[in-house]
Amino acid sequence: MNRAWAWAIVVIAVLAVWIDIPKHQFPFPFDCPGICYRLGGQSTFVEIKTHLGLDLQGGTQLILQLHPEQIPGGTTTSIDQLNTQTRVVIDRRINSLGVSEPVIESLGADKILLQLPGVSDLKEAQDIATRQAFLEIKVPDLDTNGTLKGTYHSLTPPLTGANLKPTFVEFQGSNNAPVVRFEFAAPDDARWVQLSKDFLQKPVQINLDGKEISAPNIQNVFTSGSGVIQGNFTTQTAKQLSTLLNSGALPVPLEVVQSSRVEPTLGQDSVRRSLVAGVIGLLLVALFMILYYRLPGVIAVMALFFYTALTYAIFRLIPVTLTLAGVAGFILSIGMAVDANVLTFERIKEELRSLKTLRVSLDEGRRRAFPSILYSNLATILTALILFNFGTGTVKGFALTLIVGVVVSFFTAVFVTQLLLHAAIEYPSLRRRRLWGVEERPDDGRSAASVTA
Amino acid sequence: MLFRFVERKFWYFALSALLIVPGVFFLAIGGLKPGIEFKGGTLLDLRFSAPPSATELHDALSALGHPEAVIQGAEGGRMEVRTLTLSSDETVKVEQTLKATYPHTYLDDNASTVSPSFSAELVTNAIRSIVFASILIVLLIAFAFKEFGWSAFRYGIAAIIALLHDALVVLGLFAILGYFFNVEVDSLFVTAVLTIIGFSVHDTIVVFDRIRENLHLNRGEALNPVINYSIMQTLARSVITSLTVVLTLLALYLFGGYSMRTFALALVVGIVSGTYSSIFNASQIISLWQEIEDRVRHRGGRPPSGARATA
Repeated sequence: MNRAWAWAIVVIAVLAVWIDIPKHQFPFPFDCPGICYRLGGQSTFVEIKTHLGLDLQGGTQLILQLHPEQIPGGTTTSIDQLNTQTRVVIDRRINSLGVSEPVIESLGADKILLQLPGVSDLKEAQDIATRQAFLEIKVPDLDTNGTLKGTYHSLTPPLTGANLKPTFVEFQGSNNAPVVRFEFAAPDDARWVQLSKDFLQKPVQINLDGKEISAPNIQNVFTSGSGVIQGNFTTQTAKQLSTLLNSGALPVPLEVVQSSRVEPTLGQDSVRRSLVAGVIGLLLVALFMILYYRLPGVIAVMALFFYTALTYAIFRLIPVTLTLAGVAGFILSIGMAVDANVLTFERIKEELRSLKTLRVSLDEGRRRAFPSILYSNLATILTALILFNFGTGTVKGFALTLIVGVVVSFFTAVFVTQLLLHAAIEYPSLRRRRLWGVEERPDDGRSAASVTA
Repeated sequence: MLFRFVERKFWYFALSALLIVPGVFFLAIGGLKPGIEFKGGTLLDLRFSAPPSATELHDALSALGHPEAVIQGAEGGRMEVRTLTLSSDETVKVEQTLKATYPHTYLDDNASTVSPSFSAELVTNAIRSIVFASILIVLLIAFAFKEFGWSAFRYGIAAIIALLHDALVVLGLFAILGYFFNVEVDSLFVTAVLTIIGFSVHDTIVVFDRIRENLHLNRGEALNPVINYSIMQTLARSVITSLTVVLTLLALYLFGGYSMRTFALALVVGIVSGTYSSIFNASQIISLWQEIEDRVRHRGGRPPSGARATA
């Protein structure tokens, strides 16, 4: 193990600790919340922070099932395209709400995962996600005398909300009732004006998702494509309708197959408890290792802190979203991370007991423990990969943390521990065999310093 | 001093059977209680500063048209309410009613709902992932022990038997807990089982790798003694690694909060079982397999003293 490796590991350790420190509390050395780039006068940055899952920061999660078979008249669009279109519409709706960092992903072809951090109103979330917002204007059926039959029919082609300019809420009348103002864009504006001529003094029906909202009488011939939707709106419901119309209609009916909501306070409580559990777990393992293995134990603990800092830094960099299960996986991995060290140390002890020198024992110990470490870690990574593939949400997070944990612990055990072990035997005072957990060699009881390679 | 790990294998198999049989019995009579994730339904996790009694809550929910609600008290003033699948409108209505009924003590709640169709998919996924993981592990071990030729697969299969042992111990325990205390299993539990599987294989591989190395160093030596001192040599490591993992799990169980308890418990039991099976079952299966093979080969005559290694 050469000097370059040692420096590389020191640099990694310093970087990891720097990434781990919350930047908003400690803006040193740069006044920038993460990794900053300066490219030709333009500066940009990637914010480094811990991404908490919904169960830790609070919010609402929905899993939506697409139902293309419920589209009236059927469809020729493929399920993948419908999925993409639906996600675009939901994304627009959510953007106008100002939810920070929403997650909108497809789960297979026929499902969509929607996560809304900070939204704790389940009803609101479901409305945003599943209301089709299909607006259609229908005209009255007339008998031969031109009198109203009380029913309505669609125009050909139907006059729908597909061609609207952005709508907005305004207040009308003596009681300031909220209404939604809409305006058709060309060519539907001409049809709207024509419609007002054809059906002057007659009602037209405004339908949303197949239900009548209102059927106002046309009082005069319109001069533009503009109109209003009245209904018994509150300001909030009027705003919601306006948002839905602006984002466009969903191309396919959706059903909520899974929903969950976590209150932010409960999430914070979980974070605090997990943190306490993690620190205590780490300290218990550290204490045990030092008591049992002495000097190598101290080295294992240094490696363990290196492991913890680096793993957490990688979580913040990738970023890996930490869920409750993920945090549990991380804490668990602290216990498992020492395994590679334990394997190596047990081997070193054996070699030392067969009266080999320290240096030879270290090398033999590493060489012989390596296949066990490699294949046992591969087995864990395999199961984690399967978890990642088949699992949903929570399970995926757990699997990802486990994979990162195993890879980092492998790196730590193979490089960092070895480096520290070899560094330690450079000091004569650290070469006493008793420090390594075995008896002094019978032939060199006089001088510990003579026990060298 | 050598502990007789291999010679007493039938005692160890018997002990495993003793642990597994009651659990399998309760599994068979449907003791394992699926959580709402796996059977569909709504779970409301209500928090009160001073919780009302379960019957009081049940009456309130019945009045709202949910007489099927199952109420369970939990620590810290929490009450868990399980109902059939509620729409979000119904969920909001229940919450508002509770808020109005207990204005001073009701704090907040978590709600989760899974529709029955989706839960069926989750169950299939869970089973498929366990089967798929097992197949891959057999292949990995067969590859790692490829110098044994076709016998490499018996190491893989022995590891899978040890793995099933550990999965059954945990599943059995939760079937018993489910039967007597209504403990439910959720996707976190499936995660725990898969982690146990990973850990069990991890442990078994370490022992097998030592057997491989020793067979290599002592060509021609009988298999049983090699297995015996291979287990002896890896014993300290097996126990210490389990101990460190159990230490972290203990911290998780005591300080990680209520929702982590079942998860931590499943893992502790599985990891202790994984250590047991890697020391007392996995290699013994290899030994048994070899003995049967020898007996078949020397039909009529006595098998050679202690089975021979095939390496």
